Amino acid sequence: MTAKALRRMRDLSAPCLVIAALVGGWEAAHRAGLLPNSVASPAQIWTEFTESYHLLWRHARPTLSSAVWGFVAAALIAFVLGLVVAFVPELNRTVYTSAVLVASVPLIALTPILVLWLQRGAQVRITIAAIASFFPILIGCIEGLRQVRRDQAELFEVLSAPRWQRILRLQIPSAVPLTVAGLRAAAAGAVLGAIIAEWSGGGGALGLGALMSSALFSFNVPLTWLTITAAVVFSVGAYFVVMALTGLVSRRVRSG
Amino acid sequence: MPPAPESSAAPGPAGRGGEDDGITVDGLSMTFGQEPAAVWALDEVSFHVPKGGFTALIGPSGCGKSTILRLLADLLAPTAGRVAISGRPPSALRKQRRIGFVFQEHALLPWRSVVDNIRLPLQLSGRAGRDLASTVGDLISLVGLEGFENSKPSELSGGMRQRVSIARAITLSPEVLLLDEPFGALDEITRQTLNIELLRILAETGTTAVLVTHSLSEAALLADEVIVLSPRPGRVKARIEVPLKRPRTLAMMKTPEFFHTENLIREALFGSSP
Repeated sequence: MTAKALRRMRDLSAPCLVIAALVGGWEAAHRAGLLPNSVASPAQIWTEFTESYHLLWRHARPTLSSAVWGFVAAALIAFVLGLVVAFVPELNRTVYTSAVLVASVPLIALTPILVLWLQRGAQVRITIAAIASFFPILIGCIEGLRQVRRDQAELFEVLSAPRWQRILRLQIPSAVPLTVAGLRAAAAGAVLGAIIAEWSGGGGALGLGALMSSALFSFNVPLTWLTITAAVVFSVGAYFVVMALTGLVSRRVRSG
Repeated sequence: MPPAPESSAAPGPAGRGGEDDGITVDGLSMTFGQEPAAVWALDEVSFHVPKGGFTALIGPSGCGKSTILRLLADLLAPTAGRVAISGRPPSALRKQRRIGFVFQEHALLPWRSVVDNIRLPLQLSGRAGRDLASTVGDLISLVGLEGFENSKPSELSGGMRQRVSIARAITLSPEVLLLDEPFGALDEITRQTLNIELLRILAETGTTAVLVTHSLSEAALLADEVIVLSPRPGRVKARIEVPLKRPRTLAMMKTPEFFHTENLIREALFGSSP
């Protein structure tokens, strides 16, 4: 085994130990009767998973696809707006203010409004997922496009580069690290956004959020906790998937 | 002073000319910011660099050396005074991409290979045409980077990065080359090698050069004339002609003429008894 693989194992072992300790403590607290009835134990969640993973997957699939499409839509809109601001810096404040407004709207209240407007279905889930993940990506883009080294900016000025050349050949490559950071920060938001939309009835009867709310209101404690656990796992998974994908891209674009 | 043949009358290797040739800096003053917090950077700086000549600007920090270079490159506009390059304002030359600039920390684009960094000025000038490959190839061999064409800057040593930076600055055959402490971060050995290489490149291209430096020996080795500046605000304190012949060699650093020049610069900087 290489030194690199060993180091990797050591890096991973600490978080694994923390998670194991938390789950173990949770199980012990449950058995000692320290937790209220509304909290399922890890063992109960696991039993529920082995019994109803088909149900879980049927509901999780539309949630995940909405999250992916919402995330992609948010990223595309944020990229375009970031470039617009790079070309017309005077629009910076306008775009920022509007983005803060959009990010501040309570999604749980927005869902019913969107349902009235767009009908129930994937379009509502995708829209809410997009809104939930939009802001960090936009901030990453705009700030990234502004992060240009002073001497590199002077180089482009000495060479009398037109604005579009400066944006294409200097600002966009310089923006990669912060844009990637924005994408990573937004990944979990897309999953949670889709779940919120489903939870408040935006996606019809299917979806992890819909399953969560029906389990909650029928007092099915283990199923409720299974959906909560699934939401956490998918959000964390989304973060790592985006990290892996962006890692590939940024290694290609920038090696410095 | 030891015999200095045709010292003050010799413009540079590439020929002699009047006011309109080379670089003329006349009564240049520069103030940054507004009155209560204004910083007075330059006061009535004047000098002339003949066409094909090499002038070094030396002085303590705060003497405005880099500001002068940025005024020559039209990256800044002077508060008062005039700059003319071949009789024209720097803005005209910048728009025609006739100014080469070598930055203190190379300013290479880390995501581009050596070739692509050198190619950048061609792309920006819309001249990325047929003769591109040969131009870039010639430049690579001119700065001695054969075999490193596809390396990224992060894979190069400090000296090699500055070679790329010099090649990039002369890609469009500029009329003037402005060098802002380009070798300041390099070790002494690399620095002297690059000094001689820079002179060889300039001799081949006949480019007029202005160098900002902190090093007395670098100034004496490279320049025809060394301009010593005093700080806050920057003023010309002394002009020192360098009596060494061209082509210059590292061996000249052992001559009495070289030591004498270095001592003149030292005296101008620190006074006669430091």
